Formats: sequence, structure tokens, C-alpha cells
Amino acid sequence: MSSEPLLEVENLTIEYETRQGPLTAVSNADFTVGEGEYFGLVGESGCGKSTLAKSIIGGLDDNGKIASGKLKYRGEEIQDLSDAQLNEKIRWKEIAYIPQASMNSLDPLQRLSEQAIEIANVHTDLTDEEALTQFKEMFEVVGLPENRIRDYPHEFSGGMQQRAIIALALFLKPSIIIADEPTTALDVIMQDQIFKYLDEIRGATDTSMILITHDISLVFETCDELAVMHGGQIAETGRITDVYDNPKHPYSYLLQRAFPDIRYPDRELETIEGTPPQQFGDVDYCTFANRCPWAEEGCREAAPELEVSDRSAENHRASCFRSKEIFEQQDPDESLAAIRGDQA
Amino acid sequence: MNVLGKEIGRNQYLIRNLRRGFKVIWRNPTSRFAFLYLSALLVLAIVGQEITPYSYDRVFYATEGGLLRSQPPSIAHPLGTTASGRDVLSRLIYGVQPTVVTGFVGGAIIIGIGMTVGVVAGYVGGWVESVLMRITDFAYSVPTIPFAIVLVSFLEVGFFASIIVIGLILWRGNARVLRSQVIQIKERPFILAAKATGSSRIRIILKHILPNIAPMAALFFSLGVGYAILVNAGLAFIGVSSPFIPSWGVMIRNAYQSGTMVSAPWWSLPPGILISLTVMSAFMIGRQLEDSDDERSVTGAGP
Amino acid sequence: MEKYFSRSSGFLDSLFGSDDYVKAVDGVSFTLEENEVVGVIGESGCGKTTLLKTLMGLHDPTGGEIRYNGKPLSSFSRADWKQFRRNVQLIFQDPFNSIDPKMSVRETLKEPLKIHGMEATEERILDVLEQVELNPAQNYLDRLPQQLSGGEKQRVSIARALVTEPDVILADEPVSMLDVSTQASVLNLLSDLTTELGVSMVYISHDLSTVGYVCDQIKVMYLGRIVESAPTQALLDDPKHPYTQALVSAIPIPDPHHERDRTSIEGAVADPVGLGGGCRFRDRCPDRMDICEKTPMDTEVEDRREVACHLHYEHEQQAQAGAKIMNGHQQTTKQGGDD
Repeated sequence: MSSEPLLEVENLTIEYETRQGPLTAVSNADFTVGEGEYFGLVGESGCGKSTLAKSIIGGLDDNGKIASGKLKYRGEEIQDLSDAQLNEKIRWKEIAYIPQASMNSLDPLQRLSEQAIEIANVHTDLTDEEALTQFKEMFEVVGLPENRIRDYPHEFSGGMQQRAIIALALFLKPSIIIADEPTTALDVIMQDQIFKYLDEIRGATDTSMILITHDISLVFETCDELAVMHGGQIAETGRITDVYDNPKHPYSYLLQRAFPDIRYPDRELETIEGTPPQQFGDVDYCTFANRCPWAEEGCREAAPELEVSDRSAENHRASCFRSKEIFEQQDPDESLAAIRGDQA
Repeated sequence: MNVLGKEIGRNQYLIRNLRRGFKVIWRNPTSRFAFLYLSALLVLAIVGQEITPYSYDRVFYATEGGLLRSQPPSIAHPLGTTASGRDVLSRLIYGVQPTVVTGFVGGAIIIGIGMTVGVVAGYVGGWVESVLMRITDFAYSVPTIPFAIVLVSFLEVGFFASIIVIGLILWRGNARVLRSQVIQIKERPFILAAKATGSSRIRIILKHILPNIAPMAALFFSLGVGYAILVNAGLAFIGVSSPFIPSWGVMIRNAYQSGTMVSAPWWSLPPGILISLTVMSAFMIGRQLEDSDDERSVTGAGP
Repeated sequence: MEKYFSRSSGFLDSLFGSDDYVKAVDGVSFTLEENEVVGVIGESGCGKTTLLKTLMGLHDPTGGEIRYNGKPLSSFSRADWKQFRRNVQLIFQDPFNSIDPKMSVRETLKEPLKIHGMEATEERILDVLEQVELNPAQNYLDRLPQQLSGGEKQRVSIARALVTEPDVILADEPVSMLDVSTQASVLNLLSDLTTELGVSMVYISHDLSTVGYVCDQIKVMYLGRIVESAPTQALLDDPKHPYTQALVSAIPIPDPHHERDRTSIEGAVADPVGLGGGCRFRDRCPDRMDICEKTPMDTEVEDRREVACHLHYEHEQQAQAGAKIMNGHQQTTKQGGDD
């Protein structure tokens, strides 16, 4: 499945200009998404995942900028492209982006077919007819009736609107779609419907997807690889099975255990103390240090590098100074219990 | 129930917000200047009339006899004299008090009526809202200056008459905006929570609605002060106000009437400049207060 | 002892003067006992919020009644209402908007005490802050909401609900806007409140996976009606109503090794306007039968379990009582679905 690297994020750092100085939203993010691969970007509010996603298509707010690092699409650097260049080369037809609360990004005054044509005109040379044909195809893939492409957005229910948006994102046949919390406002049954179609899209089109969400269950069920983010840093990344079976970062370890599992409704859930910090200026410390039960002084003195932490999987990486100690030389459950016992 | 009780908690709220407001004003150089300027005016309003170099209506005579008319600035008269031989500087300083009073009283009437109408209409709703909004519409349809002229002519040309009349018209802008703010706030869960806890309507309005519209109300108050001064200066210029109190508007009028506006700029310009400065300062402070009302956490940058 | 009994039919809107009413809450009945936590689960638009407001007495039920300690709300005197408002408190979903942004923590917590003429001592406030695990409590007194995190704000909300020592707390999605790393501790807190303080709770949510941590009994709502009611464990282990089954099976599992079939339910929740009789889930139900055009009644299937579904009727008894003839398909289904 994943062979050629499609999108490479290399040591990316993104800052926002604020009254209090430069706010570092993402620091040294590094991961790769391959062809036909579904990649999950998981983290809690404020961790930088949405910012990272927006930066890929040049959609940062006015006061945001890529301070350092590279973004490569099919080997070519894209982080410095201008708006016009992005429109011409990347947006919608190579990389499509579905923002959060995307129901609001549909123009309520335009029919869906018109919106599709407009997009096609800006980004491609397709004729209106060609564009509509492709759009209809996508409607079918997401399970919407073809004869409704001329409807207005409000004529669809919430779940159907979301699927229409996915169809809009896909009809120019991009290689990657970036979906930012695509199902947050929907009920669990509708969410499942959407993911059913996202699964089918894989079979039908070989598109890659970057799924941004706070819900790790969605990633475990749908994606191939994932990255866990905290405070702008990537804590751990790798195949979902590796990260699940052998977590190598305290945050990823604790986060997974904080999610309820309906198969075991009595299982105790983990909590993580404190809140993610806001980073100003250079981030030369581990942003999880103040919340980490295993943290030591060294964790606050330098930023941990994202390194291979697993002998059996070279793309399984974690950014933790004590990763080996905690996860290979000891039993994390035991050491956690011991630490907590001491604090009690 | 002790709604307006004097517990320590209540004073803390007031002190905290006054302190915060002050810091906010001080932070921005423009509003800081405006604040200092207005403070100076306030001082002059209180003591100014005692410290003028000369009495405002003292007439000066030339050494060779005859009035010392329209003299350019000199050491004895730093801003020269008027066409009737009076000291411009003294009259200018004397005029601070009426101006400040006009501003405050006018502003208070404007925000007082506007806020009451806006809050009651917004919170109570129903037919009360409709009636109040129709009254507001009516106030909108009144042309300010002509109406003021007519009304003041009917009553009497006194100092407070024009201020009150202006106040009775200009509240209309606040009412609309404050009403919609109130409607928005009303929908927020913490209001429902207050109701669920058993808070009475009045209590909710006083403790929850008013503090939350305070920034906008402060802006409107400062705008009101500004407009009150401006419009009253205009009325004074036309002659629809008491000529006995030498407000700045009256000064400009006198200069105009004597035909020496251009030839005696030391007389005609200062009052106008000061009026502008004062009104602008009021606006700046209001803007700064409203601008920095920040409920989100400190930076508010995206995730 | 019965604390709370509600049977309400709330009409939310009457559109264009026609007979198109929105039955936001239709024939909902339940009882809240002392020291009990009842969960009400349903998707947005199912009527939960209307139910909540009605239970708080902030909304008059169009039909039926609500009783507190045996006395109907409709016959409350002023003193009764004061007592009610003190003893029944609310917690909201949105931590960012459920406390007044202009009031400090101390002031927010003093308000309910002042309204009810209770002693507003600093001690009492520190006490309640400690109960919600905001430590050291002293540091929180003068903070403003914008200086608190989402989880902290929610705890202040809970503290406000507790400060008047209520009997009943109504919680509307209290954790759904919190990060998952703080969810667990707030859930634990809520669960402790009932066991340690003897507070009863109505816990409204759309998330079945967290209710198990707090609720004893769960009622599942769909389009204004309660379709199933059961003790928590029983409901999760063996859901009987097709909607509940669909809900349980659509919940994602945080385990990459687990294979889960995606839902087979199509369509969306119907528009609540102008719904007639009949089972409201029938247009999406995989087990739909002809009889579902008739409104199903609540049937007791086990001890403390009720389902409103034709699959679980004692149809034989009905046939004996002279009801219509069932077709063969139904008979088979009934046997399969009955316990």
C-alpha cells in the first residue's frame, strides 16, 4: 500500500504572531504519508494538528507562518509557494482540504453543482460538463443520489451535507484529502455512515487521507498509520498496530488508556494532569514534561528528537528521552502505579 | 433578598474592573494621552474659574483710550483679546467647566435612556420590546438640530435646556445596539444557570447582563459625551443657547458675529481646536475600553 | 422514596397555524429515586434539551405533570419554588459559556448562596472547591473564567451546582466538550457525588461509552420518545430496541485489532415536525414490520427493563384479547426477538 512518499513533512515549525510574542503552534513536526495510505493525526485541543493541516495547503491565518522546515509533495517543496501557485498546482486537484465544521463552508446560495463547477474553473481546465460528470461519479461513491447534484445545501441533512462536502473534495481526483474533524457535529450513527464511505473511497480511488481528530478510536478503525501530537510536538508516530501494541511515549500510552472502550465499560480510565502549555519562542523542552508522571529534570532542558524507538519497525518513532527506560527496561504499568503510589 | 447589599464581594468586583479599565487605557499611547488631557480638563473644570489670569468678562482698555480690541497674542494676553476687549485665554479656561458639564450630563442622559430602553427591550421581549423599539424608531426620525432649535425656543434658552433636549434624541443609537447585545447574552447558558438557581429577573439583569454589556456601554457613554459637546457647540454657534455662559461654542459664535474670524485667528481657532481635541479624546478612551474587552484566554491563537 | 416523577408532552412549535406541532417530548415518563443516577441518551434533536428545561420548571409541559417529592410543579407555591430552585441544580455542556465571564470564581459560587439566603462564608466556598478537586482552593477564589482551562471551568460549574447542597442535579452533556484526558476525572467526580453526597442525578448525553461510569439506569430517547429503559450493564450487554442496538454497534472501538462492521442504518434522524403516530424509528429500522405503523407501547421485558418496540410485544396475549390478525412473518420475528 504505502510505497512512494506522497507528502513529506520535514522538521516543520509554525509560529503565530501575537501580542505576547511568537506563539509556536507546531515545532519540528516530521512524518510521511504514502500513496493510498490513510494517516491519522491525533491530539487534544490546542496541540497544533489543525494548524499543521492548514499549513499544508497554505491556509494559515494571516498572522501564522512556517518558521522553518519543509513540506514536500511528490518530492517537490511546497512550503514557499504563493497563493496563486498553490491554486494552480496543489489545491483541490492534488490536495483537498475539508475544514472543521465544514457544513459552513458550503455556500448556501449556490447549488452544489454550481459550486463544483466554480472550483473546477479555478483550479483546472476541465469543461463544465467534464467537471459535472466527475462530480456525479463522486456522489455515487459517497452514496448520494446523482440526481440531486443540483440541490441547495440546506436541502440535505447534516450527514448528507458532510458527504456532499467529501464528494466536492474528491471530484477533481486529488491524491490526498485532509479531513479535519469531519464528523464532530454528527451523531454516532451518521459518523459511522460517513466512515463507511471513506472506507469505500479507498477501494474505488486509491486516494490518501490525512484524518485529523481528537478521537483515537476513529483512527484505530480507519487509518493505517498515525501521529500523536502534544503541545505542537509529535510525541509518537508509526503503524497503528505498533503504536497500540507497543507505545513508546508516555502521552500516547496514557492517551490511549483515557478513551472508554464499550467492550469493557467498567475499565478505569486514565487521566492526565494539567493542560498543554502555550509555547512562546523556541521550544527547547518537552511540552509534555509538566504533565508526565515519568518526567525528570532533563526533560525540561532540551526538546526530545523524534527517533526510531522500535527495533522491529523503522517507522515507529517517539520523541521521549526516557522511552527505552520506561517501555523496554521496565513495565510501564508497574512504574506508573509506583509513581502514583508515592504521590498519594 | 439583598440584591444591592454591600458585601465585600460586590466592592471587589467594582474595584477589579475599574483597575483593569485603567490599565487598559494606560497601555495604549493614544488613549493614555487622551486620559491625561481629559484629566487636566477635569481639574480645570473644577478650579479653572478661580485661576484664570483675569475675569472672563473684564474689559481691557488701550493706553490711548478705547477698547483693546482684537489684539494679537502678547505677554499680557497670551492668546490675545476678543473684539470687545476681553482676554481670550481667560475666556477659554472659563469655558472648560460648561463644556465638561455638557459632556457628562449629556452623555449620562444619552446612555441612561439608551441602556434602560435597550436592556428592558432585549431582556423582557414581547410587546414591551415592540413598543420600546417603535419609540426608538420615532426618535430616529427626528432631525436633531432643527428639533432642538424648535424645542429650546419654546422652552427657554437656558444652559441645561439644550443639553437635555439633545440627550432626549441621541439615545436612539445605543438602544438598538445594546438591545441586540442583551439578546445574545440572554441565550448563553450561564443565564439559564442563574434562572435555574432561582435568580430573579432584576437580579439577573443587574448581576449578569449589565456587567457583560459594560464595555459596550462605556463606549457609548464616551461617544455620548463627544456628541453632546459637539451638538451643543453647534447649537451655541447658531445662537440657540445662553450667551451669558462663555462656552467654547459661544466663543466661536462671538468671533463669527464680530466678523473677525479670519483676521483674529487667536480668538476663533483655539475654541474649535479644543472642542475637537476633547471630543476625540472621549472617543479614543471609549474605543480603547471596548477594543480590549477580551473574554478569551490571553493569546487566542488557533490550535 | 420517589424524588421526581415526570410525564410530559411538550409542544415546541406550532408552524403556520396548521396542525404541524413539534412534539419535542412525547409521553416521556420516568422516576428518579434517591441516590440514583438516570442517564438519558439520545442524539441531538431528540428532545433532551426540552426535557431538561421542563424538568427544571423553566418550560411548562403541555400535558402530563412533574412531581417533586410527591408534589406537582404546577401546584407549587412561591416557597415551594424557592425550595425547588435550591434543591435542584443544573450543570451544562459548554464550560466556556456556563459561568459568567465577568465574575470571579468566588462571586460565581457566592451567587446561589446569596439568592437563597444561605451563609456565604469563604469557608463554605473553599469546601466546595475542594470537593470538586480544585486544589489548592485558595488560589482559585479570585480567578476569572478566562484564566481557567476547560476542565477547571467545568469543575467550577459543578461546584456552583453543589454549593446549595441540592438533592438533584441535572447534567446536560457535562463532559462532551472536555478533552478526553480530563473526561475521566470529571466522570469520576460526578460518580462520587452520588455515592458520597447522596445526590441524585439525571445525566443527559449522546455518548453511550461514558454513561457506564456514572449511571445506574439508562433511558434511550429517539425523536422525543423513550424507546428503551434498562440498568446500564444490561443495556450495554444486550440492547433490545433496534435503535439502541444500532447505537451500540456504531460506537468506534479504540483497538486496531478489533474488526467492527460499519452500521447498516441509512438515512438521518427525521424532522421532528409534524410526526404522526406510529413508531418514529420505523423509516430506518432494519426490522420494520407492518404493525410498526401503530405506536408501540412500553413493554416490560425483564425486571426494570422496558422497551417500546413491536418486536417485544406479548402479541399472543393481544391476539387473545381480540387484536388484529398477525401475519406469519411477525410470529417468527416475535419468537426470535422475545426473551
